[in-house]
Amino acid sequence: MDRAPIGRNEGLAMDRDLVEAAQRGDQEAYVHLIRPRSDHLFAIAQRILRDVDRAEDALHDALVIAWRDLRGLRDPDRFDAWIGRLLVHECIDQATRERRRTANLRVLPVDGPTAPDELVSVADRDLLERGFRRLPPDQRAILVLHHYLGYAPAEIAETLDIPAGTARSRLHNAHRAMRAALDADARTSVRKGRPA
Amino acid sequence: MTHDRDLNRLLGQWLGEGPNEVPDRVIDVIADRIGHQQQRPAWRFRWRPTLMNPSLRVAASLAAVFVVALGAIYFLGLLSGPTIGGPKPTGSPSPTASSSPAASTSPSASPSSISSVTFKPPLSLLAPAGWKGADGDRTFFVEAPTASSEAGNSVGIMSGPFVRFNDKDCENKAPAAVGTSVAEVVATLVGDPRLAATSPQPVTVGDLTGQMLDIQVASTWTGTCAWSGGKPAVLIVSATDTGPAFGTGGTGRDRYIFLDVGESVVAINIGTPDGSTFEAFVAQAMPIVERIQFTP
Repeated sequence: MDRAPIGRNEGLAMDRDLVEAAQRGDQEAYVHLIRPRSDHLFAIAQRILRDVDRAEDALHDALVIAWRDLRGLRDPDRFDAWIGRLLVHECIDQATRERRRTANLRVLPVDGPTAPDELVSVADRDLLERGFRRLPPDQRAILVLHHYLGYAPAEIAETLDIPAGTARSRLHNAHRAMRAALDADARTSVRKGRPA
Repeated sequence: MTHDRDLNRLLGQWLGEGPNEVPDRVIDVIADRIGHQQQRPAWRFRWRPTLMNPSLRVAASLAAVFVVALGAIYFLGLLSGPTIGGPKPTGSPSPTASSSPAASTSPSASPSSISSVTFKPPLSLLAPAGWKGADGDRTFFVEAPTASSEAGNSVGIMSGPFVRFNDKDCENKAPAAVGTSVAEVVATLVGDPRLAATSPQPVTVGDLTGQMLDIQVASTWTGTCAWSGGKPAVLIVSATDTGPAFGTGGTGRDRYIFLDVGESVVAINIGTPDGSTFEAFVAQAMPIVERIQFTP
């Protein structure tokens, strides 16, 4: 994986002074701290939630919570990991609430620009989108942490506050669920394509 | 397309697609928002990030009135339902509850059902509109609306709690050599000279039995924790060696309810960082606690 994981963004030098200033209530320092990280965090939220507006909401809420709870961060050098964890939990929470509200699955187009079709075909993208949206929120987050950020199960476990063994089994379950969803969609497509 | 290698490749490529830039206005809104958002004192943290419901912004004023009304009705004895049995704890600090002085003329909003997703044992409860649940494997928080006067208050629920020794930084210590049953945990807390605790009282929540007591840091205790900002503090219970954990410090007051839930124990914590708001918050939170249903 060549993307910068949460908490290991090489392009953003950890600024301990900014964190400590923000912990003392310096709002300007906090904004300086989060602004260069916001694109990366937003991208993660969008991958989990599959919706730009909801990703913005999740980012907003996570960053306000982070401000509120910043004094509880005992190690300023762990700011990136901590805020990433906050964001992922917020995304899971939002997705959970959304699932409760949405009785029927509604497949929406992916927001934002897409990659050329030679990387992922339109058909595959559609199957992936539908399969992903059917997953429980925590499994969505696990797939994003693993496939988008390149997290190992131990890192997923730390992010989600779960034991490493649980992270491994949930990753396995997420893959299995995704595969089952894709297979089901593929079978449906085949049946629909057959002449009566 | 669903062979493992293909699936991994597709997921990696597909998740790489999509927007990577957040509009500047989002950060501008956050910058404005934190100007109105107080930071929590460090010693009130439970070592687990808590989450916020965006819908609270809309329902907050209505929820605050509802919560106040619910608490007042309950403590006037006008509301019946699954109750916590047994007398209230006595002694100092007093657990006596009263309704919140918050005032509003807005109509009340409907309660909402909240269920855990990852917390074990699974639970469901009924909370006033605007409150939200924050899930973890070992902890579950029911949080007051962030835009309300109760912002920062929450009901924390922990499965499998054990008592911790206090050391200089109050963390990462081996479990104390005490048992983990309801009686053993409660007896340890009551006997802890660092704490001022009320006499534990037997309670029931639905079919579950347990004990309830109120605690705060004893006036004679001066030990601090790394997270207490120089104020006296005590780590109360932890779920694992590295947290999450519940602690208390400064003038904070906490009500703990320990319930026997089949093969494990669940700790329910109602606390406020400012002891002067404790009774009002207990009045709001107890009706929520009474309606918690666990599925062992």
